[in-house]
Amino acid sequence: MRKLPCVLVIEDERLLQDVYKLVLLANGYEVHTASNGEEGLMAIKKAQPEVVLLDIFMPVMDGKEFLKNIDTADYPDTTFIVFSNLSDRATETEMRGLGADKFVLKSSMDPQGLVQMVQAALSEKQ
Amino acid sequence: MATQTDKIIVDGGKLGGLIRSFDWASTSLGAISSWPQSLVTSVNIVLESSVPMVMLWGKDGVMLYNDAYSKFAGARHPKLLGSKVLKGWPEVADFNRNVMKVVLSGKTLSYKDQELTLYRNNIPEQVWMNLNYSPIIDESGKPVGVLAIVVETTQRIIAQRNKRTAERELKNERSRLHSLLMDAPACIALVRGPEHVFELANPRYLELLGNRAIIGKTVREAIPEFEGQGVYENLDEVYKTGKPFYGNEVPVQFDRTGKGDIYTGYFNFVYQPTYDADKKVDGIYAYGLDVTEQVESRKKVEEIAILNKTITDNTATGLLIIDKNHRCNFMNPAAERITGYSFADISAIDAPLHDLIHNKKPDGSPFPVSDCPIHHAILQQDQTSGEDRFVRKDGTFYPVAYSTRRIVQDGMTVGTVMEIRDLTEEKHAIEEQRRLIKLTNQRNELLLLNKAKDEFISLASHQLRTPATAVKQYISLVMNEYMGPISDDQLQYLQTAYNSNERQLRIINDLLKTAQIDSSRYVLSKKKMGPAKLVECAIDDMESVLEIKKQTVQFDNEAGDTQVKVDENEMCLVFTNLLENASKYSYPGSEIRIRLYKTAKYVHISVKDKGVGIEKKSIKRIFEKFTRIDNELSDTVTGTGLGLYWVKRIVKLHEGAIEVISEPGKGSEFIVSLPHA
Repeated sequence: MRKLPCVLVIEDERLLQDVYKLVLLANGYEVHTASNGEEGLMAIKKAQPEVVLLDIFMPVMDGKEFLKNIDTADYPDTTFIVFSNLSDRATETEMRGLGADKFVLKSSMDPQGLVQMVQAALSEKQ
Repeated sequence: MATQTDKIIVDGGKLGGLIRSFDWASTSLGAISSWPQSLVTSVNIVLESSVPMVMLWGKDGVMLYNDAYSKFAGARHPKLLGSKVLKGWPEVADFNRNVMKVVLSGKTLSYKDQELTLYRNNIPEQVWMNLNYSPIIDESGKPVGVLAIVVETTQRIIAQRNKRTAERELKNERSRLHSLLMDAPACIALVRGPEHVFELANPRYLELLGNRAIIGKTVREAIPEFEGQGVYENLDEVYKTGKPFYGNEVPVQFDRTGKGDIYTGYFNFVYQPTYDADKKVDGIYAYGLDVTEQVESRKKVEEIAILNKTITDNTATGLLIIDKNHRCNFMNPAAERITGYSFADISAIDAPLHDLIHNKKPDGSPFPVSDCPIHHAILQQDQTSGEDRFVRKDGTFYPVAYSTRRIVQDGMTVGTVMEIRDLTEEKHAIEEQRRLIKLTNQRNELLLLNKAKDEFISLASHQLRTPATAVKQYISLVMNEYMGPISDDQLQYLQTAYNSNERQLRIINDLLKTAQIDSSRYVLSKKKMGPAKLVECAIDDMESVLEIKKQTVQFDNEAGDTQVKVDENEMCLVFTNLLENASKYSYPGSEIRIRLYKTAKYVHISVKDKGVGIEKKSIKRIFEKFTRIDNELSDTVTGTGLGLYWVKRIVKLHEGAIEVISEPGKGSEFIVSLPHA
């Protein structure tokens, strides 16, 4: 039986975490959530997600540290989308250097845009 | 009537006459009529001979001679005729005594080139003669006289002597010349023929060439290192033209040791042609003087002089030399710069230096030379130094540090060297340096502040975006009916709330973009691409908006496949911005024309609308920050007043330009010009 596509949302802002989860679940995804990088490190091992939505500013361990602590090559089937409200080019360059596949401005996406973005990531991997 | 005398004595020329008329009776010979036949015969022989002959008759040697002999006898003739030989030639009496004795004993005597000193003309005369003496035999067979043939050879001897002397002198001259040649301090060589074969070279010349064997060889064979130095060519020229060649301090390179080490020497030299009997050039004397030491030492002196001049010309310190009359007789350029006087100015004025550069007190009152302590000190003290205020040519004062050193020659003070430094410059320099340090510090502070500002803006926009993002998500969630169906009215209100939130996000974005572009760290990532793609990207972005306003875009690409070097994202946003403005400030249903064309240096992208246009007075301000222009659509249009400011900055960062042509009521045209890639 084919497993549902799995998305890991690493987001400290509870309001946003909830809405992403709601929308993605409604669109047929298995959703795991983590509230900071450290939780994210544990969750990614357990869930082996197809897509990771990664915030940058988070307490305990931020998005940069998260990427530094994993080897994205260990997750060849996972698309890492940095999904943050930081939009400067220096940050984008740095995150891409750490293994991020995409860099998307959170405020530019409404729920439909989010679903389309995750779908696009999945179809690109296939 | 002929006498006996006439008969027995031949004519015999002058002497014949003299003998016939001579009073022989008073001599031991007695009257001619009494002469024995042997005497008469002998006299006749003598008189008839054309060679100088004399006859010495009897034991007294009474002299009878012919015309030729009379010439030989000089002033002694005619007294000599009939006189006794020893008395007639007293200076050679001994010689003749011997002759008489020997010949009268029946023998002959013969002398060749006999040297005698005669007083023929009352002065001693060295003469040479060939002398032949033979006895005259009388009828009884006894010698009674001496017959002498006297041939003077003086002229021949003297000629011979002169010739010998000349030869000896010639030889001496030659030997002198040879030793001159050999001992000369110059290098001398003689080359013969068109190939310049060495015939002679003096030791100096040979030594210079490491004593290699050169005689008999051509110059080209003997000294191959001359190749390329013009030596062969000069010799050829002298041989061809016969004109001597003179060289002065000519550098010559040659192998001095024979080991292949090339040495450069300097020579003064002459190539002097030599001529054969037909006056044709047959060789060349080369005469060279090694002046290497002189040239090198002079060069050293020149170098030192140049160095000294370079130092005095380039030092920032003013140098003046003051003579014992306080007149300046040297200034370097720094001194001219500091004092404002050229050396020509100073030389033209016959006054102590004080009167030119120190003639006013700092309060402006005159400063007489007699009161000046520096003036008095400089020629009296070995050294002086201090700080003061001097006066420039234009009358302005300058603070100066001076020091002087007295010049003493042979115990006499001949002048002073004065060094001056304009402290204005130094003070300026110090101030300048302080200012620079201050500016650098300020800059560093500003850079830190700027960085802090950038970080603040970045964080602030992040923080502002986050709640707006949540609003956007939740409103959308309801609008998209995740929470159940909603009415059209509800949807419309939610849409209004959504739009307002979007506007807030847009303001945050514009603020952030403006802050970023104002930051010094803003970096573009440029690549080559066709400009049409940028226009197409903007049209895509604006598609839904244009559709709502029922506006159309006419895109004419007249630039072909030309390329520009741009940051694709930023430049796409530029055209999106321009297209958005064109749409916003035009009425629904109007047409917007985008035209892409090129000129020699630029690619131009024109975005032209048929909208409300811009008032002339406003056009200047549209690229400034937070500019909003009032027009009939202003109320319906939302904006932050940052769009065109940002557009212009981005275009400038691409070494491009933007201009606007607008007429109120007719529309606006924005033209972006980008350099060709």
